[in-house]
Amino acid sequence: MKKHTCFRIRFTCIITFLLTLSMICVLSASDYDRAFIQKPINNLLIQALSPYKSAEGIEYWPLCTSKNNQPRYVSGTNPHQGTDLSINVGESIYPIYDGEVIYINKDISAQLGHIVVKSDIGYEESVYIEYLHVIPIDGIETGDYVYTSIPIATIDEYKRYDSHLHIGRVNAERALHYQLYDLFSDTARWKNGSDLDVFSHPNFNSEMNTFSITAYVSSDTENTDYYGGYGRFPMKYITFFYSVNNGTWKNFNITDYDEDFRYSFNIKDLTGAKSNDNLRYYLTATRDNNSTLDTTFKDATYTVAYYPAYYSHPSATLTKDQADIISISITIK
Amino acid sequence: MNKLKNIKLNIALMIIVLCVATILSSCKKSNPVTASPPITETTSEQPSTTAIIEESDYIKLDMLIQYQNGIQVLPVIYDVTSVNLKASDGYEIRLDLLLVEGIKYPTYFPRQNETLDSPLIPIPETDSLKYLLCNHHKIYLIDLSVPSIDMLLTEADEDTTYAKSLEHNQANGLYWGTKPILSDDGHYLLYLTNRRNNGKTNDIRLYDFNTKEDILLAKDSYYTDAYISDTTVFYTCKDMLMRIEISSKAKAAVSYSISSNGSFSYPYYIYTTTYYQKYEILNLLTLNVEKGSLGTENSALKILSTKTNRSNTAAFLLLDKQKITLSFVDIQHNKLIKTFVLSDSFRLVYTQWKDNNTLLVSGYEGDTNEKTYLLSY
Repeated sequence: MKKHTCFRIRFTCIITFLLTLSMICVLSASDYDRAFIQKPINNLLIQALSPYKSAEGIEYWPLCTSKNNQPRYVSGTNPHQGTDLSINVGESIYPIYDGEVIYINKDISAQLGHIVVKSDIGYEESVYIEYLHVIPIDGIETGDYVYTSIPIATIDEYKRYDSHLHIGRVNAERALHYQLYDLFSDTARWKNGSDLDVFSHPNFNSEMNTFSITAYVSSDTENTDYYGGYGRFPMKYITFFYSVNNGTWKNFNITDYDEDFRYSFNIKDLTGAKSNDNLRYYLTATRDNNSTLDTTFKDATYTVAYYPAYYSHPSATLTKDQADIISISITIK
Repeated sequence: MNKLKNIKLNIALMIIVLCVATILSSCKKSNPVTASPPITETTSEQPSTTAIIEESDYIKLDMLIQYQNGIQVLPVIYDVTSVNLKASDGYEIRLDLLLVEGIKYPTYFPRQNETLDSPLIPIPETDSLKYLLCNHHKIYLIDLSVPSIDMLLTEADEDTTYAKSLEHNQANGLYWGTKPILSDDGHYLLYLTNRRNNGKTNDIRLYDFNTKEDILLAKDSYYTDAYISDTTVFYTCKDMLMRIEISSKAKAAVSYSISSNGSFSYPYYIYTTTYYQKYEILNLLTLNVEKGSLGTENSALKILSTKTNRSNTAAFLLLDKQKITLSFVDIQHNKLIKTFVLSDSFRLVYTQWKDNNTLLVSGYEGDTNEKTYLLSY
């Protein structure tokens, strides 16, 4: 073998090894980078309009195929940073609020046409909504003010992904994802917004010490029950992690839920906390990869969603420091 | 020396690869359609040069109003009954029916209904008894005279069945039949499907209600809007407007520079060339283009058109942060007919032709005050 050929092979091997090593390092380090913000908007005056509707303004509510914060068995962010809506190629997409275009990517070669609209909706901070896998309408530029009654884009054709709309609420830098459900809490067709996020509508009744939260997933791969069953599948269980008066973190599982996938339980009874105790908590929802309903998830290795959502790809349990960052504090009555 | 030679060889190879890639990429961009005659452009009288007149002869109501298929569905002023229907594929729906002068009209309440995803499309000349429904990307035929519901487009052939297509389907869905558009006489249904390609690219197909024939019009194509004349299908796709002859399936480009923010009013397609102010009217038969502009450089344009046997009319809504203005334009002569200035801070929800003469504009004044305008020309 010639000398320069040997050198080339050795050089390629070393570069490949270094690239692989750096990718592993980046992936493992980024698991606990922040990817989500959980900050519900209560009593929102202006409910969002659907991004998918007729030219006359009659709204449609397409199937959600992958929720925000959902553990998945497909490529892409995991848990999912945003919500996928099943809308076919060519359909017009409308902004869900009037607002200013703050980011636009018109390069559709990889099906990554992207628009972000900033809207002031009478809430304490602006709301930023992103629309991905779209072809922006001709003439739209950054800085333009757009309206809910005029389309801003159409759904792009298949290049890497099946045609769909990825919609998300992001921060100004487009790096972190908020929950979406509270923008659609009056929409029965999307179960008051619960179709859009794995966890939704948390409520702690401080008089009764009861806690309730809705948790379920949507199908994100082929499933013969998918169309008839509207793609909603229960969790295997949710887990309540808690620390009383800064003590050791403990947990218990809840498996009972009502017909709307709502879990309700008494925190005082189940934790043994006493009146005036300080209790910190967070939850996980574990997706069932042995489900006879949600059959396409069976080989997935990553199965948990967190409430509050925070980390980009956390493990099923957190260290004390990691838990301290996301936990919510309450006082037991 | 050998090393230098090798480097030179590598550079030469890279240049060849880049050239081949560039050639291939430019080949892909060329469109395999037949040549079209050139578009002639004429600029007619600009409606924007006419002063905007504030008219007072409009009706303003303190409520949201929505129509579906010519029937007021919001607020509910008619008796409502409901019927449960089940298709052979297992799909079950509850249809709400409004009783208007002895006739039952199915309706769709967008934020309430748990089983219905979209409004129903009446099939012309069936005495309001037959409707199309698109739900979870399947097209169903509803016959209220029975009443019954069933999939309109069943298996294409032994190799392209719904079950087989679903098996190969990926993350976001099999679109068995979507985006139904009917011809004015109810003879044809145009629709999209990705069933042939297992959930990937779409085909444009035409269903003939008379012969029950399901015709593949164009492979690996799609449309955003379409119009079906007696002989021809016109459709928009990105910045192109195409035509396909129904009998021969011959495909040709009508224009390569339209916008999908537009509306058909046969034989015209009227569209915005930018998001703001400017519009163009393309005659689909003569290929003549008329240009116009309305409002100011901050006026975003929404266009809804209508037509009668004698006229083609477009309603332009001009939206800016301060106000909404409505202009009616005679499409055939590109002339402004009438303009209304609506109240400040109006948030538009519904914009509908109530009939060929009156446009309904419904939404919120301020944040929550419901308002509807009925504006005629």
